[in-house]
Amino acid sequence: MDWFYTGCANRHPLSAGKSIRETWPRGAGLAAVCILISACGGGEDGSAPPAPPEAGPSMTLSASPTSAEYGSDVVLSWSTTNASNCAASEGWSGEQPVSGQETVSHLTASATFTLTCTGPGGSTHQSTTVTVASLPPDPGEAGNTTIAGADSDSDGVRDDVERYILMNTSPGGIRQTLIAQAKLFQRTLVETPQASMLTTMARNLECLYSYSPRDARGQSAKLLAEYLNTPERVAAYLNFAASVGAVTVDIDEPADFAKSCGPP
Amino acid sequence: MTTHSKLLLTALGLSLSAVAYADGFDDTQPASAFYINGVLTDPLDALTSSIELSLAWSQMSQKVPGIRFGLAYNPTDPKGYGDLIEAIRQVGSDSKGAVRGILGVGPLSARALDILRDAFVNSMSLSAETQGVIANHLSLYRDRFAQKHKVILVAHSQGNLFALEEYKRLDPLEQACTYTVAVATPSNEVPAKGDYVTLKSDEIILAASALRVSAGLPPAKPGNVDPDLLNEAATDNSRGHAFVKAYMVAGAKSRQAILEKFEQMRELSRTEGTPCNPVEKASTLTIYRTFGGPITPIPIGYSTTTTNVNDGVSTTTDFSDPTFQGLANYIGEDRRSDTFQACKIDDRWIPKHSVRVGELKPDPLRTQCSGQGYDEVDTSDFSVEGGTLTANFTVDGKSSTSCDDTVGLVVNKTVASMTNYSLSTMVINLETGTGSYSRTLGQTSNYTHTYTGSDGLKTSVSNSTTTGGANGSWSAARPEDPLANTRIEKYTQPLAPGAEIPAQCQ
Repeated sequence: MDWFYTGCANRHPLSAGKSIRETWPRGAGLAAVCILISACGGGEDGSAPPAPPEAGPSMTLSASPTSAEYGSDVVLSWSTTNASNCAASEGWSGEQPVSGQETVSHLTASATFTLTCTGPGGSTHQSTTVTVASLPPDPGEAGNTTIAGADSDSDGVRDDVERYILMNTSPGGIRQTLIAQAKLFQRTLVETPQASMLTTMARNLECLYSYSPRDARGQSAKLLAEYLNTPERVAAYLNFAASVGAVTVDIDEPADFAKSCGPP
Repeated sequence: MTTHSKLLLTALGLSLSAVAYADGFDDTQPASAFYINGVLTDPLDALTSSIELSLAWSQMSQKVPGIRFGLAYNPTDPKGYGDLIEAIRQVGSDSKGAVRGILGVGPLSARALDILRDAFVNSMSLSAETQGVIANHLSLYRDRFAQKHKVILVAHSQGNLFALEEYKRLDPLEQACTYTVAVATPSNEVPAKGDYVTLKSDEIILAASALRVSAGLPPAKPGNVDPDLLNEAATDNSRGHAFVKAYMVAGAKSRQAILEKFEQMRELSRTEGTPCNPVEKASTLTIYRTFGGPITPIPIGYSTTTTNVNDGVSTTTDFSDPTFQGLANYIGEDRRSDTFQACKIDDRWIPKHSVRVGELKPDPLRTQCSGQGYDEVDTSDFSVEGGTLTANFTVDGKSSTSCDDTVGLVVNKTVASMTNYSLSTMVINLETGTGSYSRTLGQTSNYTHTYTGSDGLKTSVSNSTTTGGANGSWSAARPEDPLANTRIEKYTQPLAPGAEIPAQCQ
């Protein structure tokens, strides 16, 4: 005779030789009532009824964030029931515990993360996808034919420089500040020199110094070198430097440098 | 004393100073510190240097308040960039690499380094185009002087030529408020309140100095700081000349020397009580108090009684009686005026006073009388508190008259002397020029009248009257607004650089 427990969405054959008590999870006493109703009669030979079938595993898997900047870290979280082991595939790999979190660092492309978990009652799998903003296209030498260069996403930063920033920084304040500084450098090359440009440059520098006094100068200088990658661009920047005039710029108190970062 | 000991003491001195500041900093002597970059320095480099200076000072002094840091940018003449661009072209097509090298974040070839060095050395001068920069910087400094700030200049390389020239164009009061730390100066001079730091290994200054000598000029100030391993280890492509990459390397003696000199200048600026407000040094407030128009210097209600010595008949004359025709005899013109002046130096008003002696001019129609009058004004009692000037002064107005007058058949011969004294108080808000005025009066008159009648009888009358206290009669004769005849002028325009301080303020 086959035993079934009913009253639930699914019917699973109970494994022979296992008692119901062993199969049910702790605290499921109320559910047992409905199951026993349909356990019609005893065994043909009057022995104990066979054990109900094992429950299949279930799971949840999520990623945070699901939409991320280039190079972001993504946290994957999952939990399971009725699973005894899990394995990661696609965007990640390896054996995973039946519940937990894992950080996937420096995500540079959109990815799907799949987790397959197996238990006595079977196996299940779930996937989650993280969309990562892509790099602007590499303009190559074609991007150096004009002073302005290529800016495919029209965000005010030359594509090759944006690629440099995205590939060499992590998402966060330093990257944002370098992007802001890059926009300013672009303006110095293509716009009429203005004194306010030096003030903006100073505020960006102060912000960088608030993150890392040791690295701020080098980061800024290297960024400028990226911008000035042709003699024509060097000449345009020097023209700005010569034409901006005898500007005076106040420097904030070092303790207040972080205030120059503005809203995130 | 070993070098090590000196360094230790220096470090100790600096830290003690910082503690003293933190314990009780006198921020009534604020200062502005400006970094003046040298030639061939782009805005990013100049700003970075300013920030590094501010940061280093802040770290050393435990965030001492009272200093505002800033950049007085010295843009390079476009022609000066020719050599620099040539240096970049020499590197080949790798502009990015050349810029990295020039900014000290990448290597440069020996050839490029030589060209770069020559570019710097050949640019160590001031051109005619720099006048605008100098004027701009002077305006900046004067703006800070007006805010009661001392100014500390930290100049690097060719920026020292600007600092020197600008210092020379400041007037003496402004110079007294200006302090300089010259870093890697190509000049043989440092402003009076200044000191310098030059690395002995600074190839740019060594070459620039040699160039000066070959041109018949005195050599640059010699190197006064030995390079140490930290300078040499720095990834510096400026041949030991760059402000941040060579001089301000963390832990280097040159950095310590710069901060030490800066500390000395700051301390000097903090302790010196030199007035640092040249813009307002010529501020004067002048109060002209005039007595215009006709006046009646006779108290209302004043009367005299004359007694005929022949018949003993007395006659009382009421001078305020409108029917009394003789009143016209006493109408004259008062041309007295006083001029008060106060000078503002620093934030102090200094009361000054000059007196314009008045004139009591008799009625020109009464030519038969001769008379004169003058005021003696004592203006020594001045006080100024919180921008309010209170002047207490007394006026002794003395007049004498001698005249013959014929009224009908009577010849009236009068010899009179009169002393009017007044105690006045003027309270003036020196900032707004508004105020109030009050006074009390007194009068002593002596008259001798001799009447000679047609009947040949002689009448002789003598009269002496003294009034005092708050005799309101004169006040009633004045305009109701006690300051209506008072004109107040305030001059706050700055003097031209180098102009003399007004005598009244000396």
